[in-house]
Order: sequence, then C-alpha cells, then structure tokens
Amino acid sequence: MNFLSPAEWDALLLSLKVSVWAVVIGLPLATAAAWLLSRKRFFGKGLFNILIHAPLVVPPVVMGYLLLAGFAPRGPIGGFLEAHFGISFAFSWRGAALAAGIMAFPLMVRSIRLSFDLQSKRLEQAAASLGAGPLKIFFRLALPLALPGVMTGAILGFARALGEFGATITFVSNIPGLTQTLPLALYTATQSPGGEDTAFRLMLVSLGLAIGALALSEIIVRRATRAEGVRS
Amino acid sequence: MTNPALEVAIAARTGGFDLDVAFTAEAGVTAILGPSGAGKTTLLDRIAGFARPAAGRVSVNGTTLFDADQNICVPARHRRVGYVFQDAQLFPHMRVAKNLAFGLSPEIGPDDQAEIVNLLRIDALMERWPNSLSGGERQRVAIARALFSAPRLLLLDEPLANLDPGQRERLIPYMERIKERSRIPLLYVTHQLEEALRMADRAVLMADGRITAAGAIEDVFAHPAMAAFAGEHDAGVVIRGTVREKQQGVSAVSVPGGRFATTERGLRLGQDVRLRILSRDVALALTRPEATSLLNILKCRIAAITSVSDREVLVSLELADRPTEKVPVQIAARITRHSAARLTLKEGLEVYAMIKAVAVSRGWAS
Repeated sequence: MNFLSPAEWDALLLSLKVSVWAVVIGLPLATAAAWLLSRKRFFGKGLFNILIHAPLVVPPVVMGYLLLAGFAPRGPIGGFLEAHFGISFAFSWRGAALAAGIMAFPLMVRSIRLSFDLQSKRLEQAAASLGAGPLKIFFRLALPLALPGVMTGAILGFARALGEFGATITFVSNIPGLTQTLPLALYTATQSPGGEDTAFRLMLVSLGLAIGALALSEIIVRRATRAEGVRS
Repeated sequence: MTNPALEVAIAARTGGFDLDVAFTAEAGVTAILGPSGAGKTTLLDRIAGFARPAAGRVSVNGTTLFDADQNICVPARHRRVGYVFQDAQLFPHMRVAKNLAFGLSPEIGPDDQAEIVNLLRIDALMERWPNSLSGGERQRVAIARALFSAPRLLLLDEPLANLDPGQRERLIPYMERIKERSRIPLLYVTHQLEEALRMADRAVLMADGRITAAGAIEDVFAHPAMAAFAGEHDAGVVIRGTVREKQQGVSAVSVPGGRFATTERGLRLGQDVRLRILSRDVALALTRPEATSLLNILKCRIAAITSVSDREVLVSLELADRPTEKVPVQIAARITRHSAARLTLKEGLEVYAMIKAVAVSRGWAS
C-alpha cells in the first residue's frame, strides 16, 4: 500500500490497537457498571454515576492531567502498578489505551444501561420463580436481551477511542511510533511545514473509520431490532 | 385434622396502599376475586417472594416460606412457587422448548414432561419463538413452563385477561384439565365471575386490600359483599344441587330447602350441578301468587336486608319451601327500597321468591 507512508501506517495501526484494547477492557466493565446503575440501589450510587459520566463533561485536558497525576511512575496508582505488576502506563500505548478507554466509558455505559432499563422486571421475576439465581438471570436473560445495546456501546466507544486527542496528548505525550495515534499524527502534520498531504490522507482515513463504525452500528441495531421484532 | 395446604397471612404497605389479608387454601383451585386495585396482584407478588411483607406468615404444606416473627424470608428462587403472569412473560430470545427447559426441575421426568405437554397441547409449538404465538398459546406455554419447575403452589394472575373472547373460550378447557390433574393448591386471580365459577371450588373476595368474604364458592357468591363487587348486572348466588326430574325441556334441581326448575340443556338425572341465580332476576311476594307462568315460586325466610345503593336493597333469603336436615340454601333478591317499604319487609318474615326458569342457569357442572 503506497497510499500511506510508513509513519502514517504506524499511526493508523497504533490507533486501532489502542482503540481495540480500550473497548476490549472497557466493555465488560461498562456492562457491569450499567447493570449496577440499572438494577441496584447502593450507598454512593449518585457519586458513582457522576464519576462514570465525568469524562463527558470534564475537559479532556483535565482528564489527561488527572491521569498523569495518578498513573505516572511516581503517582499513587502508577507507582503501585509498577511495583507489584510491572505495568507502566506512562508514555506507552497502554497509557493511550487507558485514556481512550476512560473517555469512551460513559458512551458505552449509557448505551448498555438503556438496554437494561428497557427490560421488564416481570421477566426476571418469572425467572426467579422458576428457580433461577442472580447469575443465571444475568447471563441467560439480562445480558442476551441487552446485546444490541452492548454492541452499539462497543462501536460508539470504539469510535470515540479512535478520536481521542486531549487526554491522550496530555497523559502520554505525542511520541511517533509509541503514542502518536491518528488524531495526534494529524495534528502534528497540520503544524509542520509541508505536512499538508499527510494531514489530508490521515483526515480521509479518520473520516472513513468513523463513518464505517457508524454504519456498522446502524446495521447491527437494525438487525437486532428486526430479530427482536420476530422474537419479542 | 391436617394443616391446610396453604396458609397465608400478609400485611404489607406499598405506596400508600394497605394490604392486610389472611386465608387458607387446599389443593385445588381457589379463586381470588376482586375489582382492579383490590390488591390481588400485590398479594400474589408477596406469596411468590418478589417483595417482602411487613408482617405475617406464608407456609405451603407445612414449609414456612415467610415468617416475620421468626425473620424467615425464603428468596423467590427457592420457594418453588409457580407464577403465571397476565401477559405470560415468556423469554423472548428463547424458543418454546428453551423456555420450558429454563426452570426444569429434576423431579419432572420425561414422562411428566410429556404429560404436561400433552395436557396443554403445545407439542407442535416447541420450535416457535414466543412472538409468533397467539395469546392463548403463550399462556399455555407459560403454564407448562411453571409446571416444569415442579411448583408446590401455582399462582395464576388473570391468565385469560389479555385474550379476546374466542381465545378465552378455547383456553378454558385447558385450564380445567390442569385443575383436575393438579394435586397442589392453585390461586387463580380474576375479576370475571364466570371464570371463577368454572375454575374454582373455593374463593376469596377482596376489596381495598382486605378480604371481605372467603370460603366455598357458593358461600362467597351468596355473601352481601359479593353484590357490591359484582355490580348491578352480575350479582347473584351459586347453589349446588342434584338433577331430579326432566320433562318437556325443563329440569328440576333439588337443593337443601327447595327445588328449582331450569331450562338448561344437557343435564342428566342424578347429576350434581351448580346453578347461578342473579339477584336482579328474583322478585318477592308476601302471598303465594296464583295463575302465573312462573315455574319457580319458593317459600323463603328473610335472613338479612342490606343496603346496596340509595335506591336499592339486597334481601338475603333462606329457602323454606321443603323440609331439609341440611343447611337450607340461600338466594338473594335485589329490589327497590320503595318495594321493600311497601311490603314492610323485615328479617324473619316469610315471603315467596319468584324466578323464571330461564333465569336459573348453569355456572359450571361439577
């Protein structure tokens, strides 16, 4: 492929890697959080809800700053992880994935929670009267019925992770081949003399990915609702 | 004397609504009757264990499911209480077979499964999705699903309410078969008197979270509280008797204290039947009327006079037309206050009840 230069390829592949990991790790957690918010009452639920949704309203640079403060090798969380598990987030693609995952998290939670909220309480009561415990109810009933929402959440989260800029550049900086994702590379290209062609190509790639993800999510939702139309 | 199969005493308060009921039930169908908002579903949910009552006790066959004093509250999933909801609540992402298997108890072997499937005629539906089933089919699957879990008690919350009259008519025979086969108590919630009559031997009548009448269905239908619930058109009594004579399309059914002529078809001599007599079809006279087309003229004693509205009263009557060693049957007449005053009716007075033979109808043959 000669359309992209090796450096541009690096940025694209890094972006995909970062976003896939952000969704792979983030989605189960988002599903759990959505289920808690939809089904359970517990102390501090309001605060929990605010914390999950914070990335939607807090400026990305601020989120990046907080991540830097917390996950730097000498930060409280970063230091602990480094010492006990040998995992470092600072200036690595892992940090970029963490930033992307956190910024995409509320989008995933919202979409999944909506699916849980729409389920009838009676259905779970019917399952309980048939002897089903909480785990069976979750895995055989709640989760399968929430699947369209989970898939939509995954795609929205993936698209959001692909576009992550502010928190990433603040947290893990902008190191080509290491932390320079697609948006960061695009930004760099617009700032450097003679980078117009690179910028244009990266813009096309980003646009294609975003629209592709959106189209995929539409297709999945339409399939799911059509299947539900037959089944529910 | 063994303990009743089901003992319920529940006090609960939800959103300003007060529920306070106590009753017992045996194996067989007990109808829970009452208008919307009487607390019927609230009661069922607490027996099933979906919500915890404030006080009381629930036990099935001697097993305690809930006891506020001893702080026992068995979770719904361990109660083995089957629940058939008004709208079936089949799992939409599973085919019928999977729905049935969801709660399958090890106690229900292949033979029992086959029997249940046969009883409800759902063998052809196994590969269908719930959404492709008719309302009646859904309810049959929901009942089978509940029976597959080997319940100790089965709760049915208006299972016919969401069906059109045709579907309802087709489902009733299935319900009757379930009723005949099951050896567990069934609580059958309905606000349809016909349904209760066809399904149940006993009834509990509820209003505003309280029980206003309970016992054999005949007694509950004769209770003054029934008139308030059944309303103008459907209030009446149900009596049980034996077919003694048949001629020219009229059958005579003898009951303790009297004998009723009915034009109901299909009665056999010696058959035990239930007859329903609506209070609005009963007229009263102080002397025995002569030269009349009426086939039913029975001497009665006034047991009670209760007010039903500002214009009408309900006169409860004890049959005294024929000598009997049993407790005489009671019927009721709904008449205007004006008539009651004109005839100077009072408790203990002997009067004649007059009913057309066509107004004596069969509720359900036992």
